Amino acid sequence: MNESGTGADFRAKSNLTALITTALIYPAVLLFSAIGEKNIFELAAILAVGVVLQISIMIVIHIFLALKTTQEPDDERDHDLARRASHVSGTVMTSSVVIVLLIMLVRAMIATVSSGGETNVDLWPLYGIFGSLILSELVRYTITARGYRVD
Amino acid sequence: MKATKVSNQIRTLRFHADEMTQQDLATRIGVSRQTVVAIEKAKYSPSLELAFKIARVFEVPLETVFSFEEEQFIAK
Repeated sequence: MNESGTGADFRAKSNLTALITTALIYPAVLLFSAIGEKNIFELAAILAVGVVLQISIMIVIHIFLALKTTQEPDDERDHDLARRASHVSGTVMTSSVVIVLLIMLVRAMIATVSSGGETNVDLWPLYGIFGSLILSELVRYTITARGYRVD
Repeated sequence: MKATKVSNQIRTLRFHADEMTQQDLATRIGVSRQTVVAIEKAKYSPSLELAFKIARVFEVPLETVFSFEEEQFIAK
């Protein structure tokens, strides 16, 4: 018995569509943004085009999938897969943010030293990212602590 | 996805239950057919609640549906 035509198949194909469109569109958006001198409005426009393009493709494919497959409510395996994916992507996200934070910090230090000790670098992104990391860690430890007390 | 350590007799039990389809079983326990496929192939270990639901469908004890290898159970 093949596995096509099920509700889970819809979710699997929907996820695959998101993976492929994200893998194709956003690296191109990033590359196009990084090439040449662009002002903030051009960068915003490039990002907007990427987002609209992905949403449009997703809508068309989802309509096609909805017609071709039957949809069922999520079950425990879907939740388990989503939880595992979120855990791994969260770790990747946190690691990436820490690396970017460190690079920004080193660049700010170099800029300060080369300007004779005067800090001319706008540090609010550093504070913002650092604050986000603190918040996410607080949430993680709070949920874990609550889990040990309640569950 | 690698196979779990819990094996099962769902395929055999379905066959003996008037050749119940995977979709029938999935509908009765409230999951998708792909989840039944994954459980049958031992690629997904169901929750205890779902395991009991499956056993209840076939009207057999849980141990008849699922088993765990003894040597894997003994702590080294």
